[in-house]
Amino acid sequence: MLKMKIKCANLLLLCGVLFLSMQVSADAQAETTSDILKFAAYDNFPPYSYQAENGKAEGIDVDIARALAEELGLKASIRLVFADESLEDDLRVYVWKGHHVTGPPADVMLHIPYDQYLMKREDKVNFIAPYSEEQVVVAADTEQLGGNPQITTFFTNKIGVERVTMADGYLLGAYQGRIRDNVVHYYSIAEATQALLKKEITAVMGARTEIEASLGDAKANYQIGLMSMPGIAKPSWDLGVAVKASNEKLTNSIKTAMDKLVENGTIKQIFNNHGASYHVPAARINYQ
Amino acid sequence: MKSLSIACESGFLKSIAIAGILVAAPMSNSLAAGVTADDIKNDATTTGDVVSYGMGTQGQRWSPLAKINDKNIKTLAPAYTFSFGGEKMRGQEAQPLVHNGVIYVTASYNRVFAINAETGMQIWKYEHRLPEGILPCCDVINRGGALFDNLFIFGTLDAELIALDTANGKVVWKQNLGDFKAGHSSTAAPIIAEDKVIIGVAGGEFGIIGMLRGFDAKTGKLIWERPTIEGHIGTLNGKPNGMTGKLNATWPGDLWKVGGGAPWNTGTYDPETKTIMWGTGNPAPWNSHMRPGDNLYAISTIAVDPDTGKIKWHFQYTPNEAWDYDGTNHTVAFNNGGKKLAAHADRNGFFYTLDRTNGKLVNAFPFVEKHSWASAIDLKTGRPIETGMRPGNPADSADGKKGSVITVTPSFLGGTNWMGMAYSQNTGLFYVPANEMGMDLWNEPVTYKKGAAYMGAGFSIKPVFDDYIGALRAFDPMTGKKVFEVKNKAPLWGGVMATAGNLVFYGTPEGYFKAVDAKTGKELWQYNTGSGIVGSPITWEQGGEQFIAVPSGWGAAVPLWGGEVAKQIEGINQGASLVVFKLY
Repeated sequence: MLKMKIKCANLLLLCGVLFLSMQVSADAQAETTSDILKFAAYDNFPPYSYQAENGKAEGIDVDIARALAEELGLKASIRLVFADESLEDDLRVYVWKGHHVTGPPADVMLHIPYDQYLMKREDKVNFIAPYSEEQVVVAADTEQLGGNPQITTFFTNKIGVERVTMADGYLLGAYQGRIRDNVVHYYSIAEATQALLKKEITAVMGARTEIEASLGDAKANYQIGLMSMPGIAKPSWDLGVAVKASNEKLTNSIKTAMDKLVENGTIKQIFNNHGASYHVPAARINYQ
Repeated sequence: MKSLSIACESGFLKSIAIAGILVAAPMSNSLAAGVTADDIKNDATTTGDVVSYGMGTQGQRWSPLAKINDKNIKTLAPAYTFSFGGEKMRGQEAQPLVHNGVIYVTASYNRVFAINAETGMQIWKYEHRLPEGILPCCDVINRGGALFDNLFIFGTLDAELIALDTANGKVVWKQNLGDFKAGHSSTAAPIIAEDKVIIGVAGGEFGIIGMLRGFDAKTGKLIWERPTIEGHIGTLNGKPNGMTGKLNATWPGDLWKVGGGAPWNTGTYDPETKTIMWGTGNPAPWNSHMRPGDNLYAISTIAVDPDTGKIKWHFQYTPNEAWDYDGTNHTVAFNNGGKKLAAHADRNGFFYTLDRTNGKLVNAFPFVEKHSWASAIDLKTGRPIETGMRPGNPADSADGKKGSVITVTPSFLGGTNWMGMAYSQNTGLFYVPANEMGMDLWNEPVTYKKGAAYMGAGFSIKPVFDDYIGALRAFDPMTGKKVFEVKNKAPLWGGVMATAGNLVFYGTPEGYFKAVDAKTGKELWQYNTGSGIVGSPITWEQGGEQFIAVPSGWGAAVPLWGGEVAKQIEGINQGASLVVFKLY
């Protein structure tokens, strides 16, 4: 019992010393953090952002973050984060407020839809710097379906989707549910395209960038493109970044840097490097 | 540097824990026997301990103790308060257990404490290390653990089932319940059925398939798995053990593969019929129009054989569910007039009395004033009589505008939620912690998830009445008669307890722990614990005195989802303690 007490006391002393030295190093770190720009990007989201086998963050959004930081003369620190139930949750946790478990928010979050409706609803963040357009496309196996597949082709043919996506919601409801029984659900686009390669299904519907990148070289064997989809709520949307509304200085410098990266072709090159085609955001076409 | 400081802190704490054990050792060694399967089966009648969630595996939250009663309750006062400490406050939703003079209780952030039940001194503490980046849906809560032999078994936010040695808080075994990165989580207390520990899993909002599992409680070996959605195959000792339901009987296409049905709350075990009764969560995706059919066995009580994990019967509360009325509320076994019955107060606002030998409906009646989605339950078919308040199909209105708003009661927080009601064997009444809230629902032209467009819905929660949201209500389960109600301004979010002292105990977000007359609802006693109560009380006898314990610490789902309800809970401070009472 006595021995135990001495040990406790020793440990306390040790703790005190460690605590002091930790304080010192934290202060030193604070001085150096000013040249680091903290980004948040979604985890497990190829080809946009994911943890590579070497443990490092990789992907289109990660490359964009690094390019933005470089433009601003800063170092990018990239945190891969879990997507919550809705975008509003993600903005709260990773952009403007933080969370009691995951800690303070990042400076910039990538892959945020650039959408007027969203801007009206969310006043805590600035939606800025649109860098690409994402599209809902169908990758069809014309070997199985013939030359000119339409949405109605899937009254009788299996089509794969990632669960809880625009493609999923659309196909389950379209044509009074006539496609519903042929919709095959996967937890990711990568799983769906694997099934397509094995001819377990005849097509995959989903985000173009994900489909193209996951098919890789095999994409030449599929007809990939927009289809006439009567009644779809949102066939395409722009992607940009979010910055906390009060952070005006950062907002402006990110805008300027992104304009440059889009105009000089850096963003297009990044998409191409990851096996995806590039589509200029509608917002940029509109103001030109 | 950081890891060093953490190592130091835990080393320091560990040495305190060891010191504490030396003090407590004579007491625990003299009564060293672990908790047996019989102790657990008999828990409801043995007054010297509480060794199961629900104060008895049938989940009645009833104690035959009457030393504290309606005559002497005025002198009930705190014996001690135990702080869960640190900066880690937030919702304390646990029900404590007590055995051999030691209280075992879980606290927020997956901490476990063993406390000397007489003095309130800590014996040991276990702190689970949560993985970086974990994002719990509904606060960092835990609802309690199970005792078996020398083990305290509980689930974690990162979906592990952990057995600690009751002597020192060291991990004896661990089992994985799923991938927390995919949304699996565990917040509910496991239960013991015979020699198995049974637990479900949370995460239905991420489209995981509900799974109930039975493990060998002593070793942690997986014995059986029972998926809660039809079409999926269960296992027994690692081999296929039959499909849940019949493929595509109540689900279109392959939606059953991603169908939800998470059994995220705690179930009950009825030793009389050797049946586990466990509630299941809502089906996925949220839009009911996409999955025409009843969508079994989402929003149901499933009755499961504890040895094999086979489903014996089921009862579904909300077919083709559309309002987020999880059916996970406890199904409590009780007997009446020689009949073996079960009672269930559902999120959907209706109270169901079932025959627990076959799942047939005996009676059903509303326990909330407002239930606009359904007028009544058809007693012949057991199905709700819907009023047409089903949220619209977003596929019908893809015109880029916000859909029309419908106001529905109850809200998705439910007529009641995770918290356990109580049953008095003396009055024959059930005491239900009810809430009167409604919600506005509309289809959004577009919502986004993980940076991608999706067809989603918007919602906003609001109170139904000006003067109260919560109400403790007493019902006769056979006639549906409401015997009394005690209104409360803020929503009730904690468990209830009934005792032979003609008392019913419950806590409020305002911080009060209250006792009311079990026959009339007359308030007889209250004590303010200093923070909101969202946990469940217990009572036991020790050294000739009756003790009562309740966790205090505001948090959990209400402050996260509050909407207009938030106004009723403004100014409630956080806390984190266990308050223990006795007569003076």
